[in-house]
Amino acid sequence: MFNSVILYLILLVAGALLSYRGLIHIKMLKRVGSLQMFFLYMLIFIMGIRLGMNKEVLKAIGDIGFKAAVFTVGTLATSVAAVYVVSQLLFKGQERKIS
Amino acid sequence: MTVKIIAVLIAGVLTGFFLLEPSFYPTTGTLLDIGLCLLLFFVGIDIGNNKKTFQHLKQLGFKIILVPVSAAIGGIIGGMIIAAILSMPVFEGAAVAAGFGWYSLAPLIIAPYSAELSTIAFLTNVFKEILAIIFIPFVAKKIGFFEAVALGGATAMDTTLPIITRNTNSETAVVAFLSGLTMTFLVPVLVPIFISLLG
Repeated sequence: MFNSVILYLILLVAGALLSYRGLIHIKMLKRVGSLQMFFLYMLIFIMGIRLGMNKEVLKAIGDIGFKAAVFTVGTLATSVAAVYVVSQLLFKGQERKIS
Repeated sequence: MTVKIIAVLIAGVLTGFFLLEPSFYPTTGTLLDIGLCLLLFFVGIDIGNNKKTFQHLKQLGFKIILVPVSAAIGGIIGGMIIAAILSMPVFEGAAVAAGFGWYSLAPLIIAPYSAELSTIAFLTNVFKEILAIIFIPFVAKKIGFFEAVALGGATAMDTTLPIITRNTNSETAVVAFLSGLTMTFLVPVLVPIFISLLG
């Protein structure tokens, strides 16, 4: 896990430095958006494949799927709600304005 | 984007379930790693291409840390409430919630305590990643960018980062990575604490 954190950080910083310094060709910059979309959908497709192949998940869904679904929806909702409250108090939509 | 994501995800699940041999599973892991690395590099290019990113981040300052902290606290409180409703010990709910979508780690830590709770944590965190992938575009558009980061949990630094980046801006992309990183480090700290509180 620690190794992959370092690798992700290196890749992010490398990409950011290269484009900040203007070392990425303008043609490439224009394509970054569509390349991202391509790899993004590839990634989601592969994640789907892994889920479909994972017998553990399928077996578990039958046993405790309902409890897990309730936990998922409940914790995601309170998590988003907490950040919403903090954002309203401290950021006041700042993250949108700066875009 | 949400509809396309769901369609691609379902196509993947069906392909994996009906078409592929189990021996293909390790290959999917390698493909996932390669795809993720390329995507992170492209996200980096996007961030660096926007010269104002770091200036804007400075304006937000230390408050950025409040995004993962409030997402974590909110999620854990939610887990405790759900546990109480399902008449389980509240700290079991806290432990399940503190997986933050990292489905390979939290169940491992919980396993010695209870096999059933470990399975609940595993499935909950798998579901969390799926729901995050599906709902990030919607939450980013209708509620807010930082709320979309909260949805990603620990995965905001890897698997859901590209989706957050495509649906928000480069400042939020940096916040997402830092938030995901913080929550990733919190998982191996918080889950054992909650389990030990269960005695």
